[in-house]
Amino acid sequence: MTMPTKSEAQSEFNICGVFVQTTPDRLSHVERTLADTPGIDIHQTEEDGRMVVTIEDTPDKYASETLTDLRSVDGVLSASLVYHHCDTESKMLEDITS
Amino acid sequence: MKMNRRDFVKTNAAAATAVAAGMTLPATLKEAKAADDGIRWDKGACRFCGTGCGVLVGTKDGRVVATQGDPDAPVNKGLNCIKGYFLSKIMYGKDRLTKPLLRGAGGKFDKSSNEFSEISWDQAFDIMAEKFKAAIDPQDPKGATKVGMFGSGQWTVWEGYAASKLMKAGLRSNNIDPNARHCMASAVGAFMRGFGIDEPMGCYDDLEHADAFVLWGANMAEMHPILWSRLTNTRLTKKGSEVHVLSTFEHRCFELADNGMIFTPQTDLAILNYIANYIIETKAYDKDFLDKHVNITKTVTDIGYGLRPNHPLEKKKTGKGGKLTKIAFADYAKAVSKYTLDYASEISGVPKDKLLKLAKLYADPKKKVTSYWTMGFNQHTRGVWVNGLMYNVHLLMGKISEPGNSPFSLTGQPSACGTAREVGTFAHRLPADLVVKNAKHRAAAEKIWKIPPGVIPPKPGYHAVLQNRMLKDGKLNAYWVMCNNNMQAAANMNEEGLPGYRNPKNFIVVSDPYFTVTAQASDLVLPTSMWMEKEGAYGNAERRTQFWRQQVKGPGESKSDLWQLVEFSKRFTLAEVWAKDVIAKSGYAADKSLYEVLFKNGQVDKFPADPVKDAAGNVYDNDESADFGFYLQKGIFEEYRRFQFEGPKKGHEMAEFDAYHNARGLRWPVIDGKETLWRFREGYDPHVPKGAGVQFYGKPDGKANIIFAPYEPAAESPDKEYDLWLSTGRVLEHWHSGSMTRRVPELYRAFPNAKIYMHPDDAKTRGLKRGQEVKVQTRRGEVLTRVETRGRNKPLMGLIFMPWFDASQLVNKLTLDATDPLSKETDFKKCACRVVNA
Repeated sequence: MTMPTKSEAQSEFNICGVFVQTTPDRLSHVERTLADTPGIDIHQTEEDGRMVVTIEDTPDKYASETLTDLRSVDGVLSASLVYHHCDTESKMLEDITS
Repeated sequence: MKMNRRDFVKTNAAAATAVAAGMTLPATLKEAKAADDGIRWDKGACRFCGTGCGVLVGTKDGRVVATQGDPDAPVNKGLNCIKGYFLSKIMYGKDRLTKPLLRGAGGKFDKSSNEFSEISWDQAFDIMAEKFKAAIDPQDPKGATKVGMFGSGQWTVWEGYAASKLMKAGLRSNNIDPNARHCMASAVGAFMRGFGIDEPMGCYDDLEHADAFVLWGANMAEMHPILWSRLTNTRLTKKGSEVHVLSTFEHRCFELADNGMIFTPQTDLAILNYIANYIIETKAYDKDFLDKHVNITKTVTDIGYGLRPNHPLEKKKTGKGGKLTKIAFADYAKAVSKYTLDYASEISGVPKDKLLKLAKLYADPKKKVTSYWTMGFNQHTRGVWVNGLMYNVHLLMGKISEPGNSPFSLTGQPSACGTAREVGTFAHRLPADLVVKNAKHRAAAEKIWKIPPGVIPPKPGYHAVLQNRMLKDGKLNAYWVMCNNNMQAAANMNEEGLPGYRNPKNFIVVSDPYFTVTAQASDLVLPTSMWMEKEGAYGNAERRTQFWRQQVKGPGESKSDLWQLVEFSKRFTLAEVWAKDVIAKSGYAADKSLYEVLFKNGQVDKFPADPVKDAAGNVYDNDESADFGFYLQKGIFEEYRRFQFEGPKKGHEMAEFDAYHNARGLRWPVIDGKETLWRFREGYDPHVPKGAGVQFYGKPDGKANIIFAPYEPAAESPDKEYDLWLSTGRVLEHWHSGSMTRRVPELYRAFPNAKIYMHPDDAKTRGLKRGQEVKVQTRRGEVLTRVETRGRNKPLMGLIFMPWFDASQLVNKLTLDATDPLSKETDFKKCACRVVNA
């Protein structure tokens, strides 16, 4: 069985909501690292080390791969998946203005 | 507000995450939560492991587009593990089966052909019925011993029930066994011997109540990540909390371990007896608890290894079976006295200070201890013994059936408990803990099923391993495999599995969503609807029963296992399956179909096929109800409940069908709508009378059994020729046999192929380098793979670990089909191998 890599399988687009936990003293360091990581957006942080982030596919990485890599980021205690959405890329880019 | 869907989904994902994290939502996220983008959300249960996480399933235009951890689910409280990421994807693999496939060209069956051709469902059932009928002699008093079925702990509750009923009450064959035989049978055996009733006394709430946790042959960090995150949280936030981990190789749980121990395979038997010995010698045991609630017994020893009778090891054995003999406490003390700290350390290879620390933890009356185990104990030629030795330790201390004090057998499959065990899809069992060899139990089942006395054969049928042997020997000829991948999963594939399936005398049917290794070895493949393509119910490891509604349609002509089972029953008349005198006793006409007797029986068809609705008024499909004209799932569940309330054994009561479509699962026994968290303890369990304190009511005298069993060696150990232990198991990325997860590109990429984990020095002495291609050889075959000397699993010298998910590296060509003679469960963790340069 062979499987396409992300760059070959373009039609699908993944977005995840992920709960990240770090310690208060590492928070700013983790925030900086995550802000610099392609595909990651930080939505909310708490002083106690809790963070709400989203991860989406990038041209060469699936969201799941970025999520898996999060665990090895220095200072990250846990990264738990909460929400996952998968649709075609074209549907993701549709305007849904209400 | 102007936004595209991508921004909207991100806002939504962030909002859901904030809720799960217990964070206050900013106004923008609140707004997002209120909008829905046309997605219909409904509750469901995860399809993968035995943890039983609640998930919310988002459907749009007939497709599952999103999933999220259910914030209202008590098991996972809004979180999912990485497996949640591929829940929506496993249904959409490009090679889903959509039509029945028959071996042979042009829709003509040819056993010797390498080709499959598409046929209709009608044609599929035609040839299947023909082959099954040819294997059935209705007048045979032993029943239909030549037909059989291999089922699943991934079946929904009603699928397992319908399968068991079709086989035992319809076709008169007890040759039905689930793949849960490979994972849970030893746990079941020990529950029955120790407590007289199956499944854990505690629940997941122990994760917060315990002071200390001990893992025995369980890699929770990878296999049960959500439970592991709860355990981690307790360890990090509770003062004095500790974690002990025992395994035959180092894995991810060791990162959190305060006391990590790697032991020589099979010596868990000796370590557990040492702990009992320590508790007795230091007089730490709870004498009052023992006097009131426990019987002391010993088991028959030297019972062989469940191999074929002509195997030299079987000829050598001196004992047989599992008979228990009552002994005095002093005799028990004497029996374990041999297991000193010195002896336990020497035989296990675990340093003395570590063993002592572990023994002291169990012996400390102030420490609440929860023990977890999975396949390390269960897949063991002494699996029932070793489960029992664990209970011995907890019973000695009275550390059982109360918050935080909990010996807890974890489960691999999502409904190994709810379906395989509770519904009784094993070769020896009937619903609600009843067994076929007990005349009263058979009579109760026959009464509830409205069939005459004598239909259910009294002799247990062929268990999983025996099924493969009987296929090979040509004694089992018509065989239906559902919802599992047993060609890949069962041990000793080269010598037993494959020759059995390809035996020209046999006709093998496989129902699956995908063309698995097992499907490839079969004669007829039936395309199957899965998970959210049908209404379902699973029961997790903590006795929690959870339902979901059908969310989407299956692809093409695929049908659920339930539909297949019930539809197939239409193909048989009573005259074709029951003896004349039995039919006469029944009062049924001889030309009545099994469908009419088993399903359209005035009981299962009692509830109308009204539209299925949720509280918000959304309407859901139910393809089975639409087809059969009645609410099949509800009818089956309510008939099953009669076993719980009218059967001879109390303690399995469940709530009414409709309650589960509203609740986030309920833990049985459910009495007056109230679930039970800790069984056998007054105040928690309604079956324990006032003043009793503790009552193990599964046993007639209300007492549990301590069962002494000694250390005995494994069936096959390393020697000069095959100098390494081979242990098999899972990795996080691939659940079950990889038949679903390997079709998700991301997962495939994350862990594309199996490999062997090996100690660097073991590699060096063999002249092997990391990443190099090697052959793993045993007395049964060889497999090509690659060497990994770093990474997540780190064995000591003398052992290699290889996962079994990879269909291109069938590790079960190597394994030995040695089983626990009591539970009939295979030991996938121990055989002898060697590794050579490819």
